[in-house]
Amino acid sequence: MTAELGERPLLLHSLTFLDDGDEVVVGRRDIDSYGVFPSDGAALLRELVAGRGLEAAGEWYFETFGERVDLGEFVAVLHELSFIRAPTDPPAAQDDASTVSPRTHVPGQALGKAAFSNAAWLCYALIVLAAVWVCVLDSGLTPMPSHVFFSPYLAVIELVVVFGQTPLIALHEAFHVLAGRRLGLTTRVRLSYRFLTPVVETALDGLVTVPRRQRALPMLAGMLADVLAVSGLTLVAAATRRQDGTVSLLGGLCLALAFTTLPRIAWQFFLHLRTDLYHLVVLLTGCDDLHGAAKQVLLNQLNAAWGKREKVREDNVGSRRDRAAARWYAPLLLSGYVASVAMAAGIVLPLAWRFITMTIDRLTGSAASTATFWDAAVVLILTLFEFGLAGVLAWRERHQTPRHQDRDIPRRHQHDE
Amino acid sequence: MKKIVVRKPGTVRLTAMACYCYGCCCCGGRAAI
Repeated sequence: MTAELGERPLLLHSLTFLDDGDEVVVGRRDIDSYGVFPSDGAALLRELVAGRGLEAAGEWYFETFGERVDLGEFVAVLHELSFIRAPTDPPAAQDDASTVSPRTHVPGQALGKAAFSNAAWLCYALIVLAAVWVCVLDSGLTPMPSHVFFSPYLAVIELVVVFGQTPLIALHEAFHVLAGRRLGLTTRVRLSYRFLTPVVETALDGLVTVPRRQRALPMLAGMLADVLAVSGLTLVAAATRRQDGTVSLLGGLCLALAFTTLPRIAWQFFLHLRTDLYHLVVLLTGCDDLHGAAKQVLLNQLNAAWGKREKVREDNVGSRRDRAAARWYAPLLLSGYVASVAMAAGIVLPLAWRFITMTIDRLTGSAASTATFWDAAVVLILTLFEFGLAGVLAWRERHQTPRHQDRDIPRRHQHDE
Repeated sequence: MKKIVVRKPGTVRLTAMACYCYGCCCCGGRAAI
């Protein structure tokens, strides 16, 4: 993609364009860099992509919209988004105006299409229905809290849960990745945190370049994997019952893992933690950055209430629809955080304190047997490791260099006219 | 001269909780101690 201004060529990378109401989302899927342009700005960019020179594009803009546009500022924005290609960079894959929305092939795309094909959906439905059926026939196979305690040793339980849930969490993220790759999007998986909890996170920022009706599946794919996991584990428990009808040791392990998958599904309803269902709400309400807009509303109200009017930001976060929706979402966001803090202070921390002190008693008590000692030691180490991991992840994210997508376009580009 | 305003879209980060301390905070199983 090349535009020329006399002797100064403006080279552009391969870009995607998606019309979204009165705005256009433009971006580079290869590096996950995206910008939301007004329709006139996107039209100007399309002219540059089509090969019109910079000065000629400016004249075109004046003839079309009746105003002179600040081309220097516009080019600076394109630089900030890394849309402009250096002469030493490889040329765009397709160099003509008809391919402004290139179809990208990414590794795993075929597998992603297979994972969400009609045949796959039929298999998934059969697995879930079969699991429901065996639970109806034998209520003892329905995952219950009592299934978690299949061993008198807490360490055994916790080690099974840790090492058993790890591949199930990987399956959850794998479904997100496959759903994204199916659409030709790049994906990144990493450890992160939400409030006090470590999470595994799949970045699918490229979804903003996909029509909205196609975004729901990647968002819900993880929970689909969780439901399939619970169903599959229940079926294994049913298939490995002893001759007298009781659940075998393997079946017990499976039901323990099935039950401990349920809190992970329930956790998705904590919208204030920006879970998968939060992104679905954003999609269904036609919003873009609902959390950011609501957070800004709360901060502005807080600063105004404290008399710190100089800290009230006049520039706005998100789209107009985000700011309108933030009026009702901000109280929900605040309620969610209050509930999380209350639960941590009222339930988690007291229980954790009781648990740690009792465990230390077991470790140091003269009556402790070797088995009891190591049982308590392993549980204590695993529990402290989890909270420590959340703390390390939080520290790392606060101190790392912002990724390209995380950097805001300079505020001078964010003011509404 | 008109300035074209461009904003960054929201990020899409899909997550799975990696907590395994279920007994402590979710099902109260630690009471079994």
